[in-house]
Amino acid sequence: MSVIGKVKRVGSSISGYLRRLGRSPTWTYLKRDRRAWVGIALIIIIVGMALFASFIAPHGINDSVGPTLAPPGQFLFGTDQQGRDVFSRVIYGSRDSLQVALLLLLVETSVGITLGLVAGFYGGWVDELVMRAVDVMLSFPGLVLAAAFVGFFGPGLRNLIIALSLTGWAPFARITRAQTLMAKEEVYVESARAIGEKDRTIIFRYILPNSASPLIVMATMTIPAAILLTASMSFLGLGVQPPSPAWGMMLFEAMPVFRAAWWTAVFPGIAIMVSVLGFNFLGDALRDAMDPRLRVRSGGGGG
Amino acid sequence: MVKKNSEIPKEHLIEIRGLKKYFETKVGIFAREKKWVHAVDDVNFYIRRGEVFGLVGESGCGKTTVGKLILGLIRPTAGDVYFDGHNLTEFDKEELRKLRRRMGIIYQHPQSSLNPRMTVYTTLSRPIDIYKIAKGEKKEELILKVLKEVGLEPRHLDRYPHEFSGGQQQRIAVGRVLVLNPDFVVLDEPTSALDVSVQAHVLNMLGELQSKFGFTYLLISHDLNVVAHMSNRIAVMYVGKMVELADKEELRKNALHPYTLSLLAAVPVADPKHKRKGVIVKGEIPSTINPPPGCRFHTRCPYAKMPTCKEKEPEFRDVDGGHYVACHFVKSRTHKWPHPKK
Amino acid sequence: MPEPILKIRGLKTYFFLDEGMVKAVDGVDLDIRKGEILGLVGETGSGKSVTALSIIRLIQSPPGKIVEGKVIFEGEDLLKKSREEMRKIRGAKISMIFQDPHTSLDPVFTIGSQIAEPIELHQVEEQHLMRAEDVPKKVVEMLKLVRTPDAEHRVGEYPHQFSGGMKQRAMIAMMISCNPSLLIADEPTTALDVTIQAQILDLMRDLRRKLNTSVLLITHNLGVVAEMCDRVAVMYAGNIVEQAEIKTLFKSPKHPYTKALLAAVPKVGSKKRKLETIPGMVPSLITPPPGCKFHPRCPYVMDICKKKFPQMIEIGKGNSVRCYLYNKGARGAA
Repeated sequence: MSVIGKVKRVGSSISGYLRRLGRSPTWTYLKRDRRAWVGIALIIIIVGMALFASFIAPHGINDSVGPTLAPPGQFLFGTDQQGRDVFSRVIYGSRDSLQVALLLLLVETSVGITLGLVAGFYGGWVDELVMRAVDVMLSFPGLVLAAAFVGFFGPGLRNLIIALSLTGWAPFARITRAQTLMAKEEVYVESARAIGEKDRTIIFRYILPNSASPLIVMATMTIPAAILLTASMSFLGLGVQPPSPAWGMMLFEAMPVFRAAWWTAVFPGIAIMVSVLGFNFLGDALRDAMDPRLRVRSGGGGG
Repeated sequence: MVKKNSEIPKEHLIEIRGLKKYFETKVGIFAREKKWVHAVDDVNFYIRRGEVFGLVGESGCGKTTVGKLILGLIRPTAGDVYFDGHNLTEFDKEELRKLRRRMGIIYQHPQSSLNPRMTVYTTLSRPIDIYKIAKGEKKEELILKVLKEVGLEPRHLDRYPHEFSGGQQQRIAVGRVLVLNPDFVVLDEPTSALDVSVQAHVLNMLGELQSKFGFTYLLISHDLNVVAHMSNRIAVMYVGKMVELADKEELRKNALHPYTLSLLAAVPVADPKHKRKGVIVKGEIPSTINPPPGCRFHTRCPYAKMPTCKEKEPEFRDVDGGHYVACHFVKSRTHKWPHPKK
Repeated sequence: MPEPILKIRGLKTYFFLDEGMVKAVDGVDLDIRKGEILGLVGETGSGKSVTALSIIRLIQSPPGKIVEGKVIFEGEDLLKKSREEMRKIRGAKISMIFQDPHTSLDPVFTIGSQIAEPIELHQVEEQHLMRAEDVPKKVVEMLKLVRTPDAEHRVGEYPHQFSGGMKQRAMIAMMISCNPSLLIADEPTTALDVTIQAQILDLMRDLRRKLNTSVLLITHNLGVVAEMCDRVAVMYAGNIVEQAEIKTLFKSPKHPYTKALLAAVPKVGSKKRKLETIPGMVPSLITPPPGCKFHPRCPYVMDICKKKFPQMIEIGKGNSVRCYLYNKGARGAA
């Protein structure tokens, strides 16, 4: 097929996908749920902050722009004990938090979903092995294990991600395995074998796409958890290091001066809350929209 | 590559010898006891190239399992399955997968047999891509051609299975088989889940495709009317065993096995004047976990004579010109049953 | 001719869904006489099951609603009765058996106790026709009536110990235990094997003979209809399009849909290579075609068919059709 033809086909399949998404019952119910819109709005604010930080923030994260001042006034959120603009730091902080959360999600889902798929599809000793690992990881308190890991191997972004994902992959694996076990029995999986599909293709093109719904919801809900976890880690001094404006770090640094300068802790705290709320709202709405039983019905009608 | 078995006649596309499939199952409290389901229990027959072979029977008779065994989707417990002279039981997983190029299957519930997340286009391309049948322009041409054969249109290509009616979904499934141009297709209750008028469309289409492309069909159904409409030869199965096999007309006019007779008597005919020939047989269909000893039909057979029927399993043999029966009393195809006492 | 025990006039049952208002039953008139087996035939979406559920008012509301009509049973309009009154009628005067015997019975109660339930409820408590201590005997009696082998012992078993055919027999036993005047059977044998189906149908004919129960038999299987029914009503897209005595319907079907349906059924022994098919698809029940709902698929379509909805007219003894082919001069206006 010519290049034009290829582009046309890709274009039409993308638009087809979007059209189907727009027609899908999930979107129809999602549209109606106010939580979804509130969530999306909050997320847009946070993501916007991260993307356009350099345009929005009036000062750098480490620039000492004045003495410690209370808000409002010259500085919208005031300045901290080192004279840095809290507003700018909160803005830039969104990058750190989102970055860590998304990286964490990436690692947890790739590991968890793959293991779950393999365990569910092949069964036998592979399944046993993976499931025992899941059981172990789910019984560990995630934060404690992460703290121990970082304590042993040292702080920093890479170690933080590894530490937190040590237990974080387990729920994904468990759900994926359950979904795979169900999907494996479906006729379309057998018919795929009947036309000669290889195992790998069956797992990734037949089973996975049809098991995605609960995983999408789970992923959406993992982001706020990740934000809180990294904030906690940073608060304990085990996360990213100063002068990083990660919100958790800002809370850590605000601890000694909190009584005198409340604004150094409150604003980063609000930022954390807003991002967590946003993803939680969207996640709740998404979960209800995907489950036919929990869907929001249109008002009125007979009966 | 596995060598062909030269003693299988070329005419026999499929030959089944001593085929058995037992499934393990656990019964009892806490699923402690292990029992065996005798799904297919020593079945022997062959399917000729280009014919429509009908396989009929009620729940638990094993007909669907036979279909899946022939396709290699399940491995036999014992016995041999020959496809075009090759013994499938000697193939490994990868060799079997490559052989699937020459086979197809249509399922009873079209919606569940299609991947809900694949468009019609993707569903039809998968077989083409797997076996690298065509690329680029030629691939597009093939897909469009197949669409036309099954009565669908190019605008359907970007749609998903749930956007279609049952009959259309079945057409998509047929298209997926057609794209490979296989030698052999298993039709597993292809119209049982469809409305009467839709069934007519699909059956006609399957018949036309067979005449046009020369497929060999294994038509599995519990509906004798459907099987009789399309098949050249019909085999009857009961509780894992094949009890009769004959040409369509021969079976209709001269069925010999008491079970076949009861089946023919039980099928409702769309004609109020039709009088039932034969008796409605009593009793339940036995379980395949503990099949009755001897002849499996003896518990319900109006002609069963003890102790022979209870103790000895009847042989499935050719009583005349290709008419096979498994009954102790049928010695030739001119056998006549007396009027049953019940 | 005896007065019908059930008279349905102008029944309309709609479902209010997000996609729109589904006119599942759109103006149905039907009579059922005492002791007769009336077949209600149609394909998916014809409205036959909804009609049955409307009679005994088991329509899920929301989203469904019986918006119009009368269902006169033994002189009284069932649609005007209270829920309590309907409860007394269901199982006692009008019973219904469903398609899937595996899901109709409660798996945690014995067969005996489930059959006993309607007897205890209606005959003992409400009508005082029987004493509580006589119920177990009656239960065994009912199981024997439906030809359950070894009834005395099987009374104490659970549904999972019964086969499909036996479960359906148990359902029938439960539903006729109080000797209802009307039994509604919705695809009672569709989920059963052929030889078992023959047994159940034979049983139903026998019971009708013994108890003189009227039966509304709903099915898409024309063979079952031919074997069982005295009269038949054919439904399409929410309306009855033809009613006839059984022999008349099969010998000379009038409505083009009936004709097409009969021609589409494969038969053992038929020499036809191709089955007759109906072009097009079942219409949307939300936006049905104007005029006659079958017109887009009808080989005999005329201008008037596209504009005005045809009324039912009688064209012979017990034979009525909803079609302009038989309505010269469009007598059936308004």
